[in-house]
Amino acid sequence: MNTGFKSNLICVGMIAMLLTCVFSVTAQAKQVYQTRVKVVHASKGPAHVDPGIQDVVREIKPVFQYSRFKLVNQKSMSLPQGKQGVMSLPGQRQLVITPQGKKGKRIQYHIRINSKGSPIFQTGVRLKNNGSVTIGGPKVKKGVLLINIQGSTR
Amino acid sequence: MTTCKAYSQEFISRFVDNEVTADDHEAFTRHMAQCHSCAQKEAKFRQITQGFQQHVSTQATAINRQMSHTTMDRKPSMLKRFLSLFSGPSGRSQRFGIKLASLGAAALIIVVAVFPWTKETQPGPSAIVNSVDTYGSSVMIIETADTQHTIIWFSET
Repeated sequence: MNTGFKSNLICVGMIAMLLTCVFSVTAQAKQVYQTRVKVVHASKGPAHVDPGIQDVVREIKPVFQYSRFKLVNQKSMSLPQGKQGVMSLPGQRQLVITPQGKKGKRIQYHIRINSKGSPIFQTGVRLKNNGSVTIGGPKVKKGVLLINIQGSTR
Repeated sequence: MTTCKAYSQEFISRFVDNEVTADDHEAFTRHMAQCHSCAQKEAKFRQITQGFQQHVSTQATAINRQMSHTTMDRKPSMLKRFLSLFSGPSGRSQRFGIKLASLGAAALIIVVAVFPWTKETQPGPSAIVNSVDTYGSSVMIIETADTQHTIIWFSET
């Protein structure tokens, strides 16, 4: 193996390592959490499921005896770590969701529900990447609200 | 033309081919100096032998040329050409092959780092609840049996 060949090989190897580092640092710096929220109104009455919420209903239906599910609101947010995402909920309520980074393979979120400006519920959860959590309970018009929050990141 | 019976045609043929003993060779050489008939026969055999050798040589050259053309004309397969980048006899092609392989490896690392196609499959519930604060109202945390989906249910007061 001659000297020129060796130096070429070392040069190419270094470029490859440099590119890998640059790309991984860039990916870390730009880590954004895709957060999707679906707000569903669940009530007892004639069976009905709005299109687009079958996945949420499938999880809820065996546990609670609701038969009518209507999609009230939905929102997709690209949130960097620490950035709050805010969404209005029926009954003068407000959802505030904040990604707090990755812990292992899970995404940590802080979720708060305010009613008339005051917090009525808050939780810290660690979601599976591409997984979701459903928060239910707030009463609205003879039914309840189901808030399904899904998070994903690279 | 007189015919000499001292040496047979077979002997003369072997003489031309240098297949006779040294004594026989010397004796026949001396005989040819005096016998015109045997000298003519020897010349004829030598001519035939030389003609045959020339013909064989010409044919052999033609066959060799044809074989070398066939080999050069045959295109190597894609795989062989690709492999030759790495094992080529010249240092230049080897260097190019190594560079290509290195760049390929770097590209693969980048692609894997930046574009994770595979969905992560993790065991456990869809969400682990670290803390809940309901400001006095009751709360229930449920994990569904089949899909391990996490539900947090609270009763507003």
